[in-house]
Amino acid sequence: MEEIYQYLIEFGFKKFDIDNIVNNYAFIRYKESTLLKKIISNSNYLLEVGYSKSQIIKMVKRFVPLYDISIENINQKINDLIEMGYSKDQIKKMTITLPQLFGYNIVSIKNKINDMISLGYTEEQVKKMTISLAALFSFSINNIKQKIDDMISLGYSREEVKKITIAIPSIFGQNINNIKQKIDDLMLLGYSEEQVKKMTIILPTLFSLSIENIKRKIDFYREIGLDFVITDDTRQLMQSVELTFARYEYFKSNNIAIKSYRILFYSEEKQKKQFGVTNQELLLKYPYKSIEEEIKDVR
Amino acid sequence: MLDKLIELGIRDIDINNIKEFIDEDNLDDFKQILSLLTNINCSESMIRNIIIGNPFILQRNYEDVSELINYMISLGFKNCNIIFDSYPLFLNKDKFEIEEYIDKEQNKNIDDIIDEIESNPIIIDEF
Repeated sequence: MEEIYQYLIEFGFKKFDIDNIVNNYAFIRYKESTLLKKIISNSNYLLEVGYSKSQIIKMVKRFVPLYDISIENINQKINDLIEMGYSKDQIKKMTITLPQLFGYNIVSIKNKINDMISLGYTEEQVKKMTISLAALFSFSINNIKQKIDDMISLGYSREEVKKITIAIPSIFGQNINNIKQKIDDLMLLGYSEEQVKKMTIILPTLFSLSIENIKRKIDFYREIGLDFVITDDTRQLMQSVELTFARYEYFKSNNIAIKSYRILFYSEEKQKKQFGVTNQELLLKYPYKSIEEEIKDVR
Repeated sequence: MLDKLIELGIRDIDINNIKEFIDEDNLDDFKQILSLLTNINCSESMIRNIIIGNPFILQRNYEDVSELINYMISLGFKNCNIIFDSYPLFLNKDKFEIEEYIDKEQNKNIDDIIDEIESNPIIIDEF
């Protein structure tokens, strides 16, 4: 085993990881020399097709049998995925997060895509979703259907669930209780279930913000009398509170009347043209601290 | 990694929600990613938001995140912290995805593209 340890240590693995590799059930049947050859040839091949050493280490730690798959099979899988419309970079991204993809049968990968299409997504949408969340390939179709049904049981229509999951496929990887928790947290901030539903449909990425972040924004908008923005123009919640605050303070300090709230959400280019300041300058000049953070600092 | 999350001030309830993403093997990468985020002026509250909103960051490769941020800075992005705070899932992107987006928007100049992304980072994922 000494040579295997020496090679993998030089490659960048830690001893503990190597113990896991050599003791993996997939390699029990191999002679040491055969295993070493497989490890070296697969590592070299993966380097050759563009993975870095640290990416290979991560992939092997996530899926030790990667060293058991033949180069021909890895190559064939890459070609099959290219034929399905994925680029080499996209395949690399998917396989770094889900190296098991190299072990999946191409028929089952195609079936998964067809299953998703049968749920109402287009092929293009499924492709984008899988690039963003390769783990979709590892979820059973029943699991995906269940997640959609769970979202429907929370009050969303099938079409709305589709819109939300296309925007943030990672929601398929979340526990339904976490999603429910986010809805409850938003309701605790003073919104009705109907309003929360509307807000999350308009801005599904609300599900990917911490409640602390959302609360800071809501508190600030309420403080300056713009709380209607949250329900009527939810997309603006996307903007960081640091930037909204800095712009608001700038207008206030320079006696610029905020005739329309939209002025707080201008693109940087428009802001530069109209007021001659960049976001960076504003952020440096007017750093935001919520009331809680100010109290914490005083303590 | 759990200790690090507690140290960052992430509440128990949030840790519980993201616990399945905790990958102790990735602790070194995660620490380096945290330094990187601090270096681009992400505040503690921004970092908490990024982790809670995008727990996949706990499993990401430092090298890939570093490549993404360095590429964005080299293009002229000045407020990466604001982008990641507004849209934590942006940190799951790889460099090539920014390149693909720029290629798709080839009729626009790079400053306009940066401005659009900084104003509305979700745009990168919109169909």
